[in-house]
Amino acid sequence: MIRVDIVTPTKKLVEGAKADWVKIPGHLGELEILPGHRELLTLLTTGPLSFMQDGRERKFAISHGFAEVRKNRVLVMAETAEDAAAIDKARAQSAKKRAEEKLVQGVLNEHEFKKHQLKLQRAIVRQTISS
Amino acid sequence: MADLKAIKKRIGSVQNTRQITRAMKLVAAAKLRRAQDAIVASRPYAYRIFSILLGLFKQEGISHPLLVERPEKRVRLIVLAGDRGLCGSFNANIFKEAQKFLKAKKQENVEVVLDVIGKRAYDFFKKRHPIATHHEGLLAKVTYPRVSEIANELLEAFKKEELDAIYIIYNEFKSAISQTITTERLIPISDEVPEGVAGIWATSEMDGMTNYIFEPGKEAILEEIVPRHFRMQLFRCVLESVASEHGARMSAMENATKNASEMIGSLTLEYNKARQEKITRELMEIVGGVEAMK
Repeated sequence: MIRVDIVTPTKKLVEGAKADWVKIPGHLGELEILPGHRELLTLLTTGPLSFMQDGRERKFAISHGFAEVRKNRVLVMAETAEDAAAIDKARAQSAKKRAEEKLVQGVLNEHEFKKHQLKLQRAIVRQTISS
Repeated sequence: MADLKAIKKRIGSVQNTRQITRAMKLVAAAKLRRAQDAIVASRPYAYRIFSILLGLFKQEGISHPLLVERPEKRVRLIVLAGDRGLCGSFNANIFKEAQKFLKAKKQENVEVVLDVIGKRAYDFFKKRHPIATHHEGLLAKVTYPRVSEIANELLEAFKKEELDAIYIIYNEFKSAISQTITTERLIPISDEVPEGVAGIWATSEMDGMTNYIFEPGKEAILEEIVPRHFRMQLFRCVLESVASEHGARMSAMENATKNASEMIGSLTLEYNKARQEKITRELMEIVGGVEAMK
C-alpha cells in the first residue's frame, strides 16, 4: 500500500488515501509508482493523475507541481488539482474553446500565448479525465 | 434640571451605535473564521515546499540567483495593511514600523521603494514616500493566482537586478486577540525558517534527501521550487494579515460595544435621577398648592 496526499496552495485535496498504485504525470512521461519505490523527487507536468483505492480508480487533473516519493508515500504538490468527480464538463469544454480561439486569433505576446496554451492544456486534461 | 428629552435622545443614539458595533463584531468574527481556515489550508503545501527547499540547500553545489545576497542598494518594501479602519491600532502600528524601517535604511543609504497593499497604507504613504505599486482591491478577495502575479513581477525585477532585496512588513496572526508586527526579508531567500512560522514548522523532517532520484535534475527542480516558495510566502503573509485585520477589528468592536453598554448604563441612571427629581418637584408643588388653599 502507498499513502497518497495531494496538496495545493489553497487546500488539502487528498489526505492519507491508501492506494495500490499511483500514476503521476512526471516530467519525463507518465510514472507508475508501486509500493517500495525508491525515493524520488520529480517535476510534474499538466496532466492526469490517478490511483487505485479500494479497487476503485480515482482520477485528478493537476498542473504545475512536484511529487515526492518516499517511504511508500507519495506527496503531490500542485498549483492546481481537481477531482475528476467534481469537474464540470461543460465548463471544461467552454474553457477549451476560449483558449483555442485566443490562440488561433494569434494577436498575443509571448506571455499571453503561454498563458492560453497552459489554459488549453488544463482544459484538455480536465475533459479527458472526466469522460 | 437636566433635560430629560436630551438624555433620552443620547441613550437612543448610543444604542444605535452599539447595534452597529455589535453587528460589525459578528461580521468580523465570521470573516476571521474563514481567514483562519484559509491559513490552515495553505500550510501543508507551504511547509512541504520549504522543507524540500531546505533539503536541496544541503546538497552540494547548489546555487540559484534568488539565493544570492548582494549589497543592498535598491530595496522593495511591501507594506501590508488594511482597506478599512475601525480595527484598533492594526494599521497605525504597521505604518510606525514601516517608517522605522525606512529611516534605518536611509541611514545606510539604501533606496527603498514601497509596494503597498491595502487602501489605508496607500493613503498614508502616497504623500510621504515613493510608491511603486498599489495593489488595489487585492484584500477584498485574496486568491493565489492574484498573489502569484504580484510575486512574479517582483521576481522579474530582482532577476534584472532592479532590486537587491525584498522585505515585507505585515501583521502576523497569533490568535484572534493578538497580532505581532513582523518584518521579514523574502528575497534573497535564506535557509532559516521564516520567523512567522518557526513554531509551526518543525525542522526534523527536512533532511535526508541524499538518496533521492531527482527528475529531471536538482537544478531544474530548484529552478521551479524557489519561485514557488516565494509566491507561497507572499501568499501566507497576505493571509495572515487578513486574518489579523479581522481579529483586530473583532476585538476593537467588542470593546466599542462594551463601552457603549457602559455609557447606556450611566446615561440611564442619569435619566432616572432626573425623572425622579422632576416627579418630586411636581409633588412638592402640588402639596405646596394644597397647603396654600387651606
